[in-house]
Amino acid sequence: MKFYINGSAGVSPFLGLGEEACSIPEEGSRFARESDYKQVINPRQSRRMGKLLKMGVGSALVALKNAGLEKPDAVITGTGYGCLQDTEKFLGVMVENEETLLNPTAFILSTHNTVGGQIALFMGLTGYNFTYVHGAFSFENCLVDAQTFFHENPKAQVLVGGSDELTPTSLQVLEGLDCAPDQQFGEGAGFFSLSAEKTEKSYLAIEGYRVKFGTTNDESVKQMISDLLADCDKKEEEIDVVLSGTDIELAFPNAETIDFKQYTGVYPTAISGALLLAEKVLLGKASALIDKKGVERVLIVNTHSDEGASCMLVGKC
Amino acid sequence: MENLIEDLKKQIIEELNLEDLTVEEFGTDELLFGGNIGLDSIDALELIVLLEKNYGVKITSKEDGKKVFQTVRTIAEFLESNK
Repeated sequence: MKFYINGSAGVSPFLGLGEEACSIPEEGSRFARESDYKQVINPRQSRRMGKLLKMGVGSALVALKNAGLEKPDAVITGTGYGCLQDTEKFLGVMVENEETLLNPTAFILSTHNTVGGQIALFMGLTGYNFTYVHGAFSFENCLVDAQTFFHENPKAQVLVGGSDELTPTSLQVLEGLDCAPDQQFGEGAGFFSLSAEKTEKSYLAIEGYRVKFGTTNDESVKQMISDLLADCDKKEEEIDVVLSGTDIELAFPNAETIDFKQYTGVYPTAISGALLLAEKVLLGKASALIDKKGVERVLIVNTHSDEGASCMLVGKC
Repeated sequence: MENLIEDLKKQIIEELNLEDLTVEEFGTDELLFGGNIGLDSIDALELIVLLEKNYGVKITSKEDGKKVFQTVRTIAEFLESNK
């Protein structure tokens, strides 16, 4: 199914909130670029928010503003880790105070659906609101849900986003587990206002996507990409840039291949950061990261250990 | 009493993350709820935990809470009378 992008925003090591163009992440930095959230979130409302909430809610509000949309019909968010900072705070106080005198705020904000909930509270939304916590496929499953929502509501406007945060503690644990050797862990948020029908605000389209769960190998990933191209009625020659988040060697005749995780870092919803990067590449706002110009179509490919693989085709519309 | 009021202001600002407020700007007789400070029900819970944790004082009824949490001064007076 084709989704039209009508507005987007995000925070990543290569992009600050509201910034037009990508820039090279600071050397050695794994954290999202510092952003002035007070521009979009009232300080009184943001005072309880941890980093993930500021990144997620801030990105959502800017994406909706860019789409000229006051109230989306549905909010679908994805996160692999959830609100780690608040969870750590809550658990720390629980240990420190021997399970008495627990502060309510950290507990309330520690649940995985806090980003979706806060977006709804901010905008007074009472419609469909769902959060997917499906590891490395949390964002992809948001798209699956958006697709089913569009089948029932073809004229709907849906806000879809993925967000994950990195804390000093989680970084220590992840590095200890050595689950992404030779790669840097990262964090970020990417939110997109989507519709199934083209609107006057539509500027790009997710032409199609495919998800493959479970163990994958070179052949199955390449087959998944071939199936996606067939779905979209596109040829390999029509791909200009491949944003790759996999070790599998991918070669297309006219495409420049870039490892997107060197810019987003490794985290469960990194593909939402890759989609943000694809958008900047297509709009000519990623010259600091990618040489190729006049890009019409970007293929994003992601694999995540034994959890599976996904791919997405994004183009101008 | 003045020291207690200043300590309370510092603790409230820190615990409730009132980033845009300083001790100097924090009026001792300013309404905590419904006024400029604009605290809400979650803050009330945080204040209950703060008083119990830092001063060993429990607020057990809604009526007591309403009286005690009017201003920083009413909190300080409550703590003084429950020493």
